[in-house]
Amino acid sequence: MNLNLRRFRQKASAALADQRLQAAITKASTHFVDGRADALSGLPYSEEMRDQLKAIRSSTMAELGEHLETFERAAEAVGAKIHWAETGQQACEIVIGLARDRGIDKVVKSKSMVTEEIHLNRALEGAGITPVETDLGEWIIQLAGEPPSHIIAPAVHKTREQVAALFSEKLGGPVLTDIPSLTAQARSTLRQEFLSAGMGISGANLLVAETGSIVLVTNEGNGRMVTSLPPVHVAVVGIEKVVPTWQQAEIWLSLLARSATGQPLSIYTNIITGPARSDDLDGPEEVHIIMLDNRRSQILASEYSEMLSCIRCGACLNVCPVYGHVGGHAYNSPYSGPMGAVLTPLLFGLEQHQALPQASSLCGACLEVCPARIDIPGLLLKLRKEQVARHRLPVWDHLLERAAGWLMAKPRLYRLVSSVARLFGGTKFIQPLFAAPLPEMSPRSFNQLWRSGELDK
Amino acid sequence: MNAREKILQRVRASRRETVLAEPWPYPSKSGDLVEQFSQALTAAKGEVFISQDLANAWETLGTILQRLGAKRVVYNQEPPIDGDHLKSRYPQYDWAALVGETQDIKQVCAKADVGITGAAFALAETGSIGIFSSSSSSRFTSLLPEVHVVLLDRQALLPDLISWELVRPKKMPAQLVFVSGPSKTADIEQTLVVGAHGPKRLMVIIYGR
Repeated sequence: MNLNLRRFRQKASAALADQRLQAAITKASTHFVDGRADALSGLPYSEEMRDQLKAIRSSTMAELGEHLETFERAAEAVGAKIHWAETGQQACEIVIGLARDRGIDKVVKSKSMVTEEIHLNRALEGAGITPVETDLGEWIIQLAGEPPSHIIAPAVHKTREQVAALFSEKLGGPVLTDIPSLTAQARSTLRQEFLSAGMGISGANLLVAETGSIVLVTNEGNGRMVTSLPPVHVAVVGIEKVVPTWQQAEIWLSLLARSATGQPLSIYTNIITGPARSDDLDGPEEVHIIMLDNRRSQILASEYSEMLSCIRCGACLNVCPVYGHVGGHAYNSPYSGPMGAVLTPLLFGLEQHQALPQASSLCGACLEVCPARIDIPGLLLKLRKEQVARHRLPVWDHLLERAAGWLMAKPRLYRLVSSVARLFGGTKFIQPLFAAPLPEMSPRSFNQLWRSGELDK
Repeated sequence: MNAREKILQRVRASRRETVLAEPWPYPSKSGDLVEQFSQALTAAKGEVFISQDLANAWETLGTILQRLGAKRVVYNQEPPIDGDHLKSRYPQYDWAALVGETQDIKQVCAKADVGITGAAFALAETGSIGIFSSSSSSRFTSLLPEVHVVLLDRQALLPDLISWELVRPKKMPAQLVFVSGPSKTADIEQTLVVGAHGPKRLMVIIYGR
């Protein structure tokens, strides 16, 4: 079995055995799922809005070049500086360059999956610049040296005791016993960082081309701090995050928080349009926006372009039976769950993530909840087809599936083989070739039951 | 070709014809806007006070400041707030204005117990108030102190985000924030804690007819 299939199975097995992790993911998922259901039932015409969002995302991608240029013009007109990065490494170099040119050695960051995607923190540290995460969940995992395990709740896998021990070890002081105290400690520690950092780095939930605006949503307030307190604000954004008009952005925003956490809007919906105006009392002197490609233009040209419609709400993670049991770390990527199972191979290579398209029962729960109605099961099937075409599955899997396909196309031979197999113990023979337990064969086939008339009773 | 050119060239190569249907005129919920706003903001752990007019609103503000045991108060000099009026009416508090004094606004706001602002508009459905940055409004008045108090004119209430489009400024300010409650987090064990990095309490005094 190849390396990354084995790695996925190991991580998944470890996660399945971890009762506490199971309970934590279930608690978070249930909370988000219930919240989403309540929030959408309170929104009149939510189904029509979802149809609209799908259409908006699709038509935006169809003319993405024009919208990117519109955004660039509008943003530059209000004094923002636009940079373009073909790769994650280029984006990191731009950020490092901006910091070095200004003698900045510490930056504060709000939660941004795209900066995890490009390993920005590692690059900054390598260049002697200290990044400080400020979203509580992100800060916890930064202190712990771990990757996020959920795009909305990065530290969902940690207990309060683990967090308390971590804070005591890294920050000094006694081991606190309750969550409000831990949060208060984070507030006062990070407040000092906000006030002293030379640069704030954020992502963006969306970019509005009409006015050259960045929209950044948080519940904690760290998004506002990071983008207002330091004199320089740098936003790293995937090029697929652009939306042409405010009318369309309003539909996107009406669905985003409701799908993610069940809130009508996040506590802070922060709309940034360029740096502080000359007569503004405060605000950053400079706003830099790094437009990141990192294979998005290739995805756009492929049969997987629908995946670019993802608005990173996490609703699919919360309903996925696979994610719900193996957790985010098994995906080996900042993007996990159903959206991660598609996006991770597309961004980082199918070769390196062969388990992910296979890690699905195709139940379709993700498609049911996706605000942009992305056909994730369909995309997973396309990825699997590609894996088979490229002979990227283990030889046994490949041969078995070919043999089964051949046999099933010959009904009489299939029935004969099944009857013989029943005489000799059913699926026991081929069980050693499979990791998951195979179902037992029933004593009589469906066809036999049907023909005998037993099923009519 | 630089990165910009290469990216745009690749993106343009995938261009295809498309038609986006006219945005549907989503009808707003019916009902009293103040009631909807109060319900939504209270559900998000915000606090709503209703005053029949501005004079009454100042009374309410006085009561709030007293109950909070506030010492240092910072405010944005924007309608309906008049710094001189506040200082003379409630001299017992240490009032810090942000305009016309050479001082570090960040430190002033960080040390204040209460920050008072107006609101350019509000959204009833989501319980949100809209704040702009400007030459007389600091971004930090509503962000750094533990308590944020808002004076909201009833006339500024709109039904929802979709209808906000009708009043959206053509020239956007550098920062426009929709604030929909006090700051919060549930990042540890999915347990809600009100008061994360931003204010721990959001109080909105709605005045007027």
